[in-house]
Order: sequence, then structure tokens, then C-alpha cells
Amino acid sequence: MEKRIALALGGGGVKGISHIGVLRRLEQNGFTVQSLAGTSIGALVGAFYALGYTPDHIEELFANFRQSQLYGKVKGEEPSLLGFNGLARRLKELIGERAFTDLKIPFAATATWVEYGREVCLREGSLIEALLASMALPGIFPMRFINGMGLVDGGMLNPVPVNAARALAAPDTPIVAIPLTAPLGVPATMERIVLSRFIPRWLNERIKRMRLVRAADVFFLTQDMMNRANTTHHLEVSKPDLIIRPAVAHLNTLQRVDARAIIKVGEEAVEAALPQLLKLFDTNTAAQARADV
Amino acid sequence: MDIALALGGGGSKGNSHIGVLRRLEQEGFKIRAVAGTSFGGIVAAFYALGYTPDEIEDAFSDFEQTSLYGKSPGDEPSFIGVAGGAKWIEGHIRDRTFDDTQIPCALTAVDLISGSEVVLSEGLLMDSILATIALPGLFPAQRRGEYELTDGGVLDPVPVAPARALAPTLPVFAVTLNAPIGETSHSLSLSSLNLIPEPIAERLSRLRYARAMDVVLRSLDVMMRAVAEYRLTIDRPEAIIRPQVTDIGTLAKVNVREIAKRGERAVDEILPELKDLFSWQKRAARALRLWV
Repeated sequence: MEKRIALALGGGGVKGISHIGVLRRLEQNGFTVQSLAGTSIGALVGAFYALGYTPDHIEELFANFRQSQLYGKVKGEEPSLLGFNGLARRLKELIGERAFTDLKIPFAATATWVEYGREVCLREGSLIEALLASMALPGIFPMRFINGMGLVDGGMLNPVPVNAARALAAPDTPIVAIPLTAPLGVPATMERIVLSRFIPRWLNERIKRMRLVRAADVFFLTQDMMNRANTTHHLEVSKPDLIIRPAVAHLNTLQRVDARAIIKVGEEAVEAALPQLLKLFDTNTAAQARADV
Repeated sequence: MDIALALGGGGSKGNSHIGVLRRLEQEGFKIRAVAGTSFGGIVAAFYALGYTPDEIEDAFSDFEQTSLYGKSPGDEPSFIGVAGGAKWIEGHIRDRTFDDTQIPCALTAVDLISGSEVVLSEGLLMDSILATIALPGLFPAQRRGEYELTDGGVLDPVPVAPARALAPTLPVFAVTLNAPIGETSHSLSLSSLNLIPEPIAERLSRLRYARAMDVVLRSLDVMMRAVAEYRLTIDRPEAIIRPQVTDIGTLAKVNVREIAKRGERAVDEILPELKDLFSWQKRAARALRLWV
């Protein structure tokens, strides 16, 4: 029997590189990803996969991204602290004008429509536009307009798009969710102000002690916490068939990292979840689950 | 008809809690316990201390809303501070503690260090109020021992679970001020902070960094609304009262009595449903559930 699953790939900046390892190990263990939905970095990885890139190929892409060159600003864009210039240019080279109709498997990217506070599931039109909207971390990256909707990062409302994944999936396909955020009640390490390594440590320390910086720090810390709360609650309400958590919660969203090390964490998470994954296809338990419903 | 109340956060919108309290009392509901978050926490504390809804309305109407902001020496860092508001509240609450309340009362806050919700129900009321209203980054966080406390609305905008913990056998009525997901809201945006006179604010809002900041504030509001809706889905209060306040900014200057009226209307809208909770069938079902 073919082991088909549908994936919901969560957001979380560089933590999302672990999705590559998740995809690879799933393939190696004979699982077929039949459809996938992603938010933010999860949308980026998911889009490449849906375009037909192998996990090895995606890994190569990410290892070659020069993080310092991704964040330039473009004139005429919505205001933000950093921009997506480098990334947008790189994506243009890789994806070009391709649209959702060019994908090999069903895929959706989610974004947040700020004005209405609504999750928007992007499934048609330009792939690049959808990805840039899904990754537009508010204030840091520019808000994007699609069909008149001002869109920011899908992770603001829903860090792991289980509902979108379910909408795409064929009936009876188990939904596997890959959240990247730490559970609630665990001290946050994320988003405490991390400054560039090029600033000398003494100056760094000085800046960190500035009152406004500390106020901003509190602000980002709470944003992280709400993100974790929303992840926890969404998973509780949307009930995916399985949750796999790569151990990446300690990483910072925009931190500079070794891609290969993080990919390995994704692989390990699948490895650890293998018994539960196989159980999804054990005919007896599957029949039992249906009987319970 | 004994109930427990969970009063949600929402700044100025929270004046509608006053109308909710008044209508519930008039209709014969007995509020036996009250939990509150943020502005809901202020109303909860006043009510638990024995202020009637009319007295709360008069007191809040007297507050000079332009004097809300400001910083005191020794505050934790914050963008605008809430020294004026704090001083005014202290004038009413003084050094009273949770032991002085006439009904059980709890306020919620969030600990920035451990990333978890903290329910405050002992010690000085004033200390807990300062913690529950500490809008992240905007108002100063409060250090209490090993905790660094900020607005409870971050994790629990409508404190249903704390209300239920105060009175486990009673139905919980939740009053939420957050716009439901998918509606326009004007709760948090740069202009809603009222920091600067209108013409200057208008100019400033055209600045690029101001606009970026505005997106950040609005996203925060969206996240808080998502947290609120999820919690209501998961915590299942027996009734949800939703005053129509989506047009009001969290820190807007408002007419207290007008907003309070909106709370009354919200109760009237679902009054049959609220009373139905006390039909003998529903009572029996609750008793049975508790007994099991």
C-alpha cells in the first residue's frame, strides 16, 4: 500500500530549514507527500518541493543562499526595517514567472490579511508573489498587496497551516503537521535582540541596555509568545493526525546558521516519529480510528 | 442565578464591562466571582471591592483621559508608560489587597521569563493591576520576584479558566472585546495611541518607519484576536457576551457612559439565551456533570 500523506509546514525563519530534512527522511522511508501547505519559510520550502525539486536540490539552494545578501530594500516597496531584495531576485532566477498551475503536486501558501485579521490561503497566480506575502514578517519585511489585500506573514495568525493542508488533501489522507515554535511554558530564547556579529561586544552590550531597545525586546518577546500560543491552540483545535516537532525551538528566526546541521535535526525528528507515522497506515488502527469517528 | 464572570482586555473598549455588570445585576444574575484581564482586570478589581456599576461608571468618567501616559522613575523600560493612569487607579484602590474583596477575584498576567500565564489572586491589588495592564512594550513590565509580568491579554485575553477556578460549580459568562477573526478592527494602530496632536500624527503617519510600526501594531492586534478566539473555543464558557466595540481603539479617548451602554445592549441581545442557562434542565445537567 502506498503511504500517502499531506503536510502542513510551519513558519519560523531559519528554523524552517529543518523542513528539508523532514521531506528527505519521509521520502527515504517510503512516504509520498501528496499535497502540502506552508506558511512563511514553510511555504518557501514547500513551493520548491511542489515544483519538483528534490530535498537534496533544495538543500543545495539553501546552503548557497548568502544570508547577508538576502535582505536588501527596494525603492517603492511598503516600508519595513529590512527588505527582500536579494531573496526576491534569487527567487526570480529560480522560479521565474511560474504559477501555481505549474506545480507537480497541490500546494498552498498562507498569509495574514492584516486589515481583516483573516488567514488567506494563496493557491493561484504568481508563486513568487505568494511566497513574499507569506514571509512578510510585519515591520521587518514589507507588506505585500495581492488582489488589493495587504498581506503579511501567515504565521502571525496561524504558524502551522493544518486547515489549509486539509483543504488541499485528498479524503482519508493523514495530515502531518511540522510546527517549529517552542511549546508554551518554555522560556523563550527567540527574538531577544540579537545584534550583528560585526558590532563589537562592548557596544552590543551597551545597546542592549538602552531602555528603548529593552522595551522593543519585551514587545518582540510577547509576539513570540503569542505565536507559540496560537500554534498550540491551532494544533489542539485543528487536530492533525500527527505532529512532528524538529528540535529547533532554540534558534533565532533570522539567525545565521549552518543549514546542514539544521536539516539533520529535521531528519532526526522524522526518525523519532517513525513508529507513529507507520501506525497511520496500519490497517487495523486506521479502521479503528474511522470506527471511533 | 449565580454566575462567574470573565472580563476581557481591550483598553478603552473595556468601559463596556460596566454596562454588562449593570444589566446582569438588573436581570437578577448574582455575580459570585470575577476574573479580569488588562482593562477587564481594573473593572474586576473595582467590582470585587464592592463598587456598584454606577459608582464605577462615575469614577471612570471623572478620569482625565489625556493624563493616562507618563513614566515614573524606577519603571521598567517602555515606549510610553502609564504613570498617569496608575496614579489615578491607586487613588481609588489604595493599599487594599485581595483579602479585602467581597467576592473572589483574580487577575491574569504573563511572565516574560518563563513564557507562561500567571494568575494573580493575592497581595496588593494595585501591584496586580499594574501587571495585568502592562501592554507589551508600550507600558512598563512589572518585576515581581523571579517574574517579569506583562499584560495577561498576551496569552489569555478573556480569562475563562481563572474565572472557573474561582467558582468551579458556576456557569462562566465571558465578555470579549476583541473583534472576531475576519472583521476590521481599529484596536491597535499608530494613530490610535493618541500620542501626538492629529495634524502632526497625520504627517508622521506618512513617514516610512511610522508606517512599518503601524503594520507591527496591527499584526499584534490580529494575533491577540486569534489567541482570544482559540481560547474561547477551547475553554468553552457557558455564555459569550460581545459588546460591539470594534470601532474603538484600545487607547482611544472615549465617552465612558456611551461605551458602557454598548455593554448593556450586548447583554440584552442574548438575554433569553443567558436565562435559558438556568432552566431546570440545564441546572440538572450541570449538577449531573459535577457529580460524575
